Formats: sequence, structure tokens, C-alpha cells
Amino acid sequence: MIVPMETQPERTVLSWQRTGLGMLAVAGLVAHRAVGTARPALLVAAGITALLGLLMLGRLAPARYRQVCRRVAENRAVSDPTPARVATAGVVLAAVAAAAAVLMPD
Amino acid sequence: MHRLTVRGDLPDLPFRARPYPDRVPVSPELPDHPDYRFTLANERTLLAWLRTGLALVAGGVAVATYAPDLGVRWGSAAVSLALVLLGLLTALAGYGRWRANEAAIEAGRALPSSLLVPAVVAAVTAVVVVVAVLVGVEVLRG
Repeated sequence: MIVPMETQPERTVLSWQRTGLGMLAVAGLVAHRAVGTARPALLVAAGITALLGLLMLGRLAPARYRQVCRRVAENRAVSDPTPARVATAGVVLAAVAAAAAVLMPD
Repeated sequence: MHRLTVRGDLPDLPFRARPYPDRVPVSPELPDHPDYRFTLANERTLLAWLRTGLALVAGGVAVATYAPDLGVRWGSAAVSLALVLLGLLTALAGYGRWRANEAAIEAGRALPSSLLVPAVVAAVTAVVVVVAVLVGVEVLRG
């Protein structure tokens, strides 16, 4: 494990974690709505959103942290569009799940 | 990586252990990529935009769940959908802003100006005004 010289990578991984937790919060709200309005189909949307949040929290965030530490130590550029695209796509999917939860008729 | 600028910076080491013993650069060699701190700051800004979008989406679901009768029959659904769509657009616009900032950082330019913040503030204000009107209607109806 490469230890960085200062706290910028740590601040960034914490930001990734907060975003993952935000996705889990949306998943919780959708799940609560699914149970409260007796629409089990919405549980699937909530489950997908929760899975995306867990992936961001447990996979994307630590992988990006290790990548940043490695590249800084090697004096290489740290820019990588893939994590940004994956995170944006995850939030878009969470929003689509939420739209389904809002629009689904009683 | 340790960079040497003047001959006085050379540590007191045996000749063979010195880096560049006979070639000391006059000016520090600049890397061919931007400072990683700028890149990470831009990444955190993208994530902050994504969380703003998620907060708006969560607000939309919360309105639909906890305020199902907002003034008129369609009030709750309209406000919820507006918030969710606003959250979706905020996340996409945040990604666009991240890309533009990355290009500027890579090229060593100033960051491009953006109307994203006032646009999101205006949209949220509009939703809040609509909610206030719907609550007013509900109160007047008793």
C-alpha cells in the first residue's frame, strides 16, 4: 500500500464515500415507498439503487484511492474519466428508479 | 521525485551515488501533466454536483411519499417529478462541467465560466414557490 504525502487523496475518497451513502439514502426512500404503498415492483428499483450505492462505496471509492496514490507516487497524471462516468451513470440510474417510484400509479 | 535546481543542492555523497553528477539542470523540469491536486479538486466538485442531484432526487421521493395530498390532486406528483428530473439534470450538467474543467486544467487555461449554479438555484426557487402556492391552497381550503 502506497501512503500519500498529504490528505488530498483521502479527502477525495471521503467524497466518493459520501456520494455512495447518498445513493443508499435514495434507495432507502424508494424501498420505504415500495413497502408503504404495497408495490413490490418498486423493491427491484430500490435494490438496484442500493447495489449501485454499495458498489460505489465498497469498490469504486477504494479502487480510485489506490489508483490515485499509485499514480502520484509514480509522478503520473491522476486524471481518469472512467470513475467519473460510472458515478454519473449510477446517479442517473438512481434518478430513473426514483422517477419510477414517483410515477407508478396506485 | 527529488529535483535538483542548483549545484549547492547536491547532498554530500560519494561521487557515484550522486544523481546527475555532471549534469545539473538550471531550472526544475516540469512534468507533462497537470498538478494532481487540481484534478482531485475537480473530481470532488463533480461528486458534490452528483450529491446535489441525489439530494434533489431524494426530495422528490420524499414529497411523493410524505405529502401525497399537496393542494390539488396532481400537486404532489408534479412537484415530485420536477424535483427528480431536476436532480437528474443537475447530475448530467455536473458531469459536463467536470469535463470542461478537465480540458481547461489539461490545457493550463482558466476554468470556463458556467451558469450552472444560478440555473439550479432558479429551478429550486421555482419549485419552492409552487410548493408554497400549493400549501397555501390547502390551507385556504381548510
